[in-house]
Amino acid sequence: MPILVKNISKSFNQKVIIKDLSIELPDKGKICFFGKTGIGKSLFMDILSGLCTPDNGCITGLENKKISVVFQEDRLLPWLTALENIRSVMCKRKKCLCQDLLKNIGMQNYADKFPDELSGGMRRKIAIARALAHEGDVLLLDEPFNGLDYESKNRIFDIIYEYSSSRLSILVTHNAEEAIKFSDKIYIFGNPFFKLIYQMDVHNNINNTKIMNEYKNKLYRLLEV
Amino acid sequence: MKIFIINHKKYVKDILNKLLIYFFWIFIWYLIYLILSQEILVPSPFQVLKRLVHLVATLEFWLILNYTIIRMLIGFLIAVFASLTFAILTSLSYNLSIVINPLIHVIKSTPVISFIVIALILMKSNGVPIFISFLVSFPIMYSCLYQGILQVDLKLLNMSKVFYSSKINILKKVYIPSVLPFFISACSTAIGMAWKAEVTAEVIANTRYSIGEKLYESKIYMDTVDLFAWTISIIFISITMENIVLSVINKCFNKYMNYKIRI
Repeated sequence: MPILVKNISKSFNQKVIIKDLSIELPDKGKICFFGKTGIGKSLFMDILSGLCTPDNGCITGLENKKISVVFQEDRLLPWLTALENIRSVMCKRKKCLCQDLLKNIGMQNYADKFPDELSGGMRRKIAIARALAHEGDVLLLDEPFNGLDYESKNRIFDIIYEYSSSRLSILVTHNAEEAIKFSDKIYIFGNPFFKLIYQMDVHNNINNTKIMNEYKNKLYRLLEV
Repeated sequence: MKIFIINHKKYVKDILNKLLIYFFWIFIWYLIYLILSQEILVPSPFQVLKRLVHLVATLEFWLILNYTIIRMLIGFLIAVFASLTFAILTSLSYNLSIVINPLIHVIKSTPVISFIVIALILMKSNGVPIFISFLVSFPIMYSCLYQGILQVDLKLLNMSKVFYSSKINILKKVYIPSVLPFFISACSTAIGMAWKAEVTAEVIANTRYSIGEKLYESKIYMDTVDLFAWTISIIFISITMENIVLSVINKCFNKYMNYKIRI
């Protein structure tokens, strides 16, 4: 059952951020919300995750669905260790898999460290691992690769990519390459009022530099419209 | 092993330093005693120590101590529960906080002696120290807990709404650890204040089997040695009580305490 966003509007201090947005999202697959910084992508994520209530409109198809989020900031509990931060969101019978998850993201040696003992990139990895460990039906990724070095980014990207095959994953980014590599479909948003400019399907082999550049150019051209 | 020896040496050195400071002040006390040469004003530290040893050896001392501590703890624990309840309620309702805040200000700014006199009219002398101990602890505990609840990180709360479905889990994982530092600081301040106010109330209410009663008697008989001996025991018990309560909290919330100590 697809997720239907119907006539959503949201204002802050009488400033309209999202106006009358209607969009249909698939219930599985990898999609991306692409747009310039500050247009309201994160706010729309908050609305989808239920953390923010829209002024008007409604969303159907998300009821009874478990949602996991990688927030723009790490939002790790400072009084729990890296391992405990991940374990705390897991169901009891799966807690034993926590160490494997840490190993996959290359953080097995930092399991007992508290967030303030970790670097920004390490905290990011733990925040991503926590969202994966939560095993939601919908995974919301708000600029998840910020602060990661090239190697870690590729490693984490592959893990998220594999994990996302069985559920709906929504990536929010302003990085065209990330958007093209990750998604089956890209929703391009722009001003004013978080308007949906274009929906672009990504079919081709993304490893081909020429095709990648074509997609990138198309995305940036659409943003300029 | 090496680390243990180094830590042990440091610990012994710290204790020796503290003892030296105490001896220094006792020496100053002794000097004042020598200069004044009037035992009724300032007694000799040796005589006070002798009296203290004598007091500690009596059953009455321990009985009095027991009753005074129990009275203080009853008042303090009621204050803890009341302040926790009110802090939660007022953090949920802004209107209620507006209603409660003037009351807290009034309790904070009214002299303890006024409350003691009012309490003396309203209740038996045994209840006065309990009531005063409650009244002194309550506004301190309430203000700290209320601030603690209001300062819980909203971003962490939002995160917890996504990841921890049950409210008990959110309470355990976010609220309690966030408010704990405020609770500890409130307890540490409130216990000392409650203890002092309680002994004052005991003196004025002349409560039976209380340290206050003994202080009152020493004043009547101009027994300064007794007065100093009881005062030293009050200070000692106050410090011990604070340490006991804080170590109980430490044990209950060991994990979060370790996090705070590490910071």
